[in-house]
Amino acid sequence: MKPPRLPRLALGLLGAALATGVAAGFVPVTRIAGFAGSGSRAVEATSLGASAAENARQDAGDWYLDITRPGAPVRMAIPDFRLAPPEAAESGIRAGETDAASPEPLSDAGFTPAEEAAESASVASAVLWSDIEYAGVYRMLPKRFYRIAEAGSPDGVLDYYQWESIGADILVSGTLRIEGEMLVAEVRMHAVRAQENVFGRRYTAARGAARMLAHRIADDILQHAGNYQGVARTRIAFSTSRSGPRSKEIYLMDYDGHGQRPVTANGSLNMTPSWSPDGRALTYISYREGAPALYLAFLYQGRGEKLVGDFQSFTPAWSPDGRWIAFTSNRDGQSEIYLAAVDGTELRRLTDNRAIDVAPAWSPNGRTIAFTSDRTGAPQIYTMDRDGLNLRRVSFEGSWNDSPAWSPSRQHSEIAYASRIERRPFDIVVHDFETRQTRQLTTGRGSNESPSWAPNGLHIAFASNRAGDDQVFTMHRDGSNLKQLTREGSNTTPRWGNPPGNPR
Amino acid sequence: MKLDSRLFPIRRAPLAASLLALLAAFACSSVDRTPATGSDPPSGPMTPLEASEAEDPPESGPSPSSSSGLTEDEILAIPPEVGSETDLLDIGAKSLEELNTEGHLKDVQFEYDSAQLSAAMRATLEENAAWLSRYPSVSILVEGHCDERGTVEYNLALGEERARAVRDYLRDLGVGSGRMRIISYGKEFPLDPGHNETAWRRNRRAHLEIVAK
Repeated sequence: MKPPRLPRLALGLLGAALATGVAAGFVPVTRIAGFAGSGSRAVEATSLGASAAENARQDAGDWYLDITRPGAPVRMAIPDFRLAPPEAAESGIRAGETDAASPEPLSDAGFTPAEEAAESASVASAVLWSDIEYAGVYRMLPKRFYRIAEAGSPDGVLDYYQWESIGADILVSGTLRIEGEMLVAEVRMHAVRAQENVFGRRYTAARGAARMLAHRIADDILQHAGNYQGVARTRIAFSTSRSGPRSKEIYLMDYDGHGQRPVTANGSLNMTPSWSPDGRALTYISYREGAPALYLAFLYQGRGEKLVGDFQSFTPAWSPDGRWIAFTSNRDGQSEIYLAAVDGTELRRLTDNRAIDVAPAWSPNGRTIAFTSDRTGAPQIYTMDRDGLNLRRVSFEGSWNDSPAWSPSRQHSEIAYASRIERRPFDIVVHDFETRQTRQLTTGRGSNESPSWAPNGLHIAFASNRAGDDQVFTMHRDGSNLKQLTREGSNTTPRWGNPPGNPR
Repeated sequence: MKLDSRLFPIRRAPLAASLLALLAAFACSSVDRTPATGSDPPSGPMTPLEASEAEDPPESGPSPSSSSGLTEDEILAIPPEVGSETDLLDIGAKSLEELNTEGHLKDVQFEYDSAQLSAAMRATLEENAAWLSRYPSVSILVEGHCDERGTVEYNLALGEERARAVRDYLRDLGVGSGRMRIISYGKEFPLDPGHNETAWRRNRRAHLEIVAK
């Protein structure tokens, strides 16, 4: 087995800062609270395939298990991680190059290594479970059934018949241990009825990064069990009032609401964030110098800069190719939509009329921009080509439609937006370009605004005041599986981003 | 131009501005025509003028400031046609916060999803313009606000449109563009935290904030 390829100590510190949600301290003016390190590489994986052919398939990266059974949901069993002693891993797998003789120091939190390992296993087990469940594509077999299967399988021996007897189609089992400064997990996925170990990987992450470790495992499991693009490592940026009166700061959180942490800390209004496609930077508006201007925040460099100033600018949107920012500005006297290169050059205007044009949103291929305009007297959703030509109206129902968000999905061509139907508050609706149908996802509970798609196009984040103040929620694209992610202060304009380092 | 001449007896606005500022200053500190507040000692020679110079934002135009070669007598010889001089506040003696809380400039309230100025709103803005013409050293920030019923994103643009409508009308009334900046706060800063028609009406507003004097 290959040793971990990254310097352990550095990786450990960086990964721990990321995964535990500890952002660097508050920094003044145009600098931003930085996140050190490289999130995408905080968890390292190596194949543990049962055969050389399996290893080759896994490393090729485009392989997945096809276990579909017509008419029945696939049932998945995920028992908790078992603790493995530092030197002895799962049978048949040699341990890494750990120095087992050295005494283990206590962790920062004062845990003994054994306690820390147990805590990490507990966290990783819970997170892996909820990540897989969130995808909504598997029926999760309740953990209370597992005792039956495990009782029939003596230590370390996997008895496929026992798991089949409780109805499992897929079994995901893993061990976890602490090795030096790292957490090491070994995970295998089994096709139960085929009695085949179809996936095996060793993961290493910093001690304290159990959540990040589990998120990475979950995305891999979903990818290889059903070619499903998981969202476990994605983050949501939003604007929150929690840090003080008459101010809103940009915050980040994991997709599940964990690890809410500041990006800005300047005491003014900071709103409408938009992610770079590589998940490493945000653009947003800030009133820190008075009038709202566009700023960029490079999260992993702890650096921020002003993109466009001098005039009021609103609602920036980063293009899918990462090169352009579409936004609204009054620089020519009225609200129009503009494009600027990410370095602030090549400014060009796309709209030209006396009405309000605001809230641009890119199509996944970057050729079309949806936006809101009141050119017919009330705010409605339109699309235009990225040169401003070929204008089309999208929304015809509702007296006020705003904040379009174009689904990044390859399967579904659709736009979500906030819609006022009759005189009710706003609801999230989705317009499907193929069927030309519009479906309503929220139904009159509070006012629901600012939809934003998960990178896989299967979930939507939005802000709703159904529980009092505005809070960020997520739901499935059919409106099910509602989850409230924020509870402190008022939280608005969520934007769902790719995992850091996403190649798209 | 008709409006202009009514509100600005002296045509050259920047010069008029500084002259009027001087006039106001002398009216207060030297000639002592203000309704004296008794206990207030003369607040040092020329503090109002100094304050107005110091706080003038740089973008408020090339104002040829006080030392334009006029003697005190010449300045005093300018007939005080604007308003009655007894109305003039000693704005230099007040903080910006005091001036703003005293409500010399009135908000205007808009209709739902509208940036149109009604006749009543225009009348209010005309009063505001008249007040501003009396204190030419004053610069304002025109804030556009919206009620909570609209969406965050569109309301940012709607608030901008409201602020712009107010600024443009004040400019038509003779208030120099250099004295006004606009900003939209969308629905972020409601005046009234309520969730009813009364609150929404109060919140759909343009607010004129004095930012320099």
